[in-house]
Amino acid sequence: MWKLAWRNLWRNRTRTLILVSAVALTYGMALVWIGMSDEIHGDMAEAAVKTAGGSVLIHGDGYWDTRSNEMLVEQPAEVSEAVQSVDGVESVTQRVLLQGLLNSARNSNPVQLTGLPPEKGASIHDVEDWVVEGSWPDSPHDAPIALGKGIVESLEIQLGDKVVMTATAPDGELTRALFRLGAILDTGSKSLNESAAYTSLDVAQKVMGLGDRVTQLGITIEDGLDEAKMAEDIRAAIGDQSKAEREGLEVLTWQTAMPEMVGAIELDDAMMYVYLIVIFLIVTFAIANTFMMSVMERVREFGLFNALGLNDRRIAVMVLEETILLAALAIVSGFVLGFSGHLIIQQVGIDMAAFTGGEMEMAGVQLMDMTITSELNPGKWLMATGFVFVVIVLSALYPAWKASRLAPAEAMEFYE
Amino acid sequence: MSLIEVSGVERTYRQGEVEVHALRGVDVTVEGGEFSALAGPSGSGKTTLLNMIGGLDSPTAGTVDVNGSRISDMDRSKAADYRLHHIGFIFQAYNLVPVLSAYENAEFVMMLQGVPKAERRERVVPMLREVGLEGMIDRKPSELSGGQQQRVAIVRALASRPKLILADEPTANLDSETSADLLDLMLELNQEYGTTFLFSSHDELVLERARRVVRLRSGQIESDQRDSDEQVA
Repeated sequence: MWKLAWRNLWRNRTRTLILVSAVALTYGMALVWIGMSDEIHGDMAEAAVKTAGGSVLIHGDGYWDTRSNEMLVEQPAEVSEAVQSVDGVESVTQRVLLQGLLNSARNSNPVQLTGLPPEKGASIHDVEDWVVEGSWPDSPHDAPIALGKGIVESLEIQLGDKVVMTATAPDGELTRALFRLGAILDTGSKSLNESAAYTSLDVAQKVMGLGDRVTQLGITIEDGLDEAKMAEDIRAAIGDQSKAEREGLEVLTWQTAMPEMVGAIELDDAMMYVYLIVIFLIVTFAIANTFMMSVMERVREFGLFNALGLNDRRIAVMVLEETILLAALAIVSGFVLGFSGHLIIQQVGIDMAAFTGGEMEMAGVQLMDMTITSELNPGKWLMATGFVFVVIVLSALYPAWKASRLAPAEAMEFYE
Repeated sequence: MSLIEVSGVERTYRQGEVEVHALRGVDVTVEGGEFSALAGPSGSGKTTLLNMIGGLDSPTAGTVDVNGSRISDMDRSKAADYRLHHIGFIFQAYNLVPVLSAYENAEFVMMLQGVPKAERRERVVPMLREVGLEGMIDRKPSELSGGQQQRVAIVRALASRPKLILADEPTANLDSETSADLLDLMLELNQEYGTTFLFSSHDELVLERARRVVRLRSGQIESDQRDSDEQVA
């Protein structure tokens, strides 16, 4: 019967080819869309991790909500050692994060000063890659500072010029610290260029009188691990939740630290599925209509089948077999299209800079990489494939039922 | 017990506002091995009666028994299964599946019955040869003449070895020479295999060869004549 179904499918070659092409194209595009969406969501999550400072974050309790310079991790070395012992932790970076006002001889500019250990990669942002003038982290100055080029323009300063940072010290007193401009940075983001300032960790601790204390322990974890589970393990390693609280620490995942970004990713994901469902609903009606036409063109033949002894169920199955073959053809062709599209976009990428004016911000997070590529998510692709298959088969249920219910005598125009 | 027992069959259906009485209390029996024809003018009810006997339609009143089974009470699926295993059909037109070859059409019913492939071939190929279709078994219906298509339909009906073959106007679309050949062939097969043939036709060629002719008029049996000229009803 499969042979018969296959031949019936090609009875009207043009119509079948158009239908297969339409479904294959829609399915292939859906795969590419899913691939691009996943990649964008990956970029969004990566940008959020970079903005937050790590996949899991440890601060003085309440810091994340208040961003107060007074809330500090009191014994970072001990905590850091405990965190390092947790399986799956890749790195722990101590940072000082200070909100303050930077003054030059001519102007002032609000900044967030980040004090970083000197080793490469400690910032997650790789500050050294953004240097357009000067040098970082090596500098001839005692208290070097690297500033976004927007700040440099605003303050009207040059390399080696003095700037004074005014900020609230941990004791609540207003403190001033002197820096010299060691490097000018171009982060690729206008807003970051206008607010980001970096110095070394020890300089930040020294000038602000922090001692060994830091604002943040930024933790990176191995790929694929669940951040919430890791946060639990880290809490356990520090002591326990109550002890962590007693010692004045908060342990956050990037998702709890940046719920707007999580919401944005979830909303974008949901919208993608809504679009896909709407598109496939339209395809469903197109397929149902085509199969209905195909059934109505063969009314006499179905009458003949029934007269020869093919019962209702077997007639319906025969129509469904045609649909399954059509679905298989469309899915194979669509997969080839979608996978080719995925590979091309993965290799070449689509530069979104031209569409977004050079930068894109989502949920308060600056996306650094403006080139969209594609990411293969086998689970989602399999789900999309299953969905397309089910949609095609469902669309043929009514025509199949209709074919099976044709009265053989009437179908054959038997009445005299 | 007769192979076919039609008892008090009536069939009424509506055509718009008009009620049409296709059959009005028909009683007829057919014995196994008969080569009989239902004759009558257009609208006399012969095809409707053939449909009732084949379970393609249900009577408004009365009963139809075929080989001891009450086909008139069967639901659609049971009737289809019954036809598959006990009744062969030859129709006036649209007899073959256009996407299947002559051989595939001829073996179609046996395939539905689940007869193994080798056995199907063993039965079908000699029969196709016997009806003069040797060398044409791979041709599609569109590549065969009307007479050749009907020969394939006859082989399909016979190959599954049913007790009864119902043929609705099998010669209606054929020239007289082809019709005569086909009828001779069916008569030969009737004698060779003992298969019961029941035709509906007003073709004189069919009626000449039929051993028994049941004439219908306005949904009722007008006469029932056997070869020996013995008037039955």
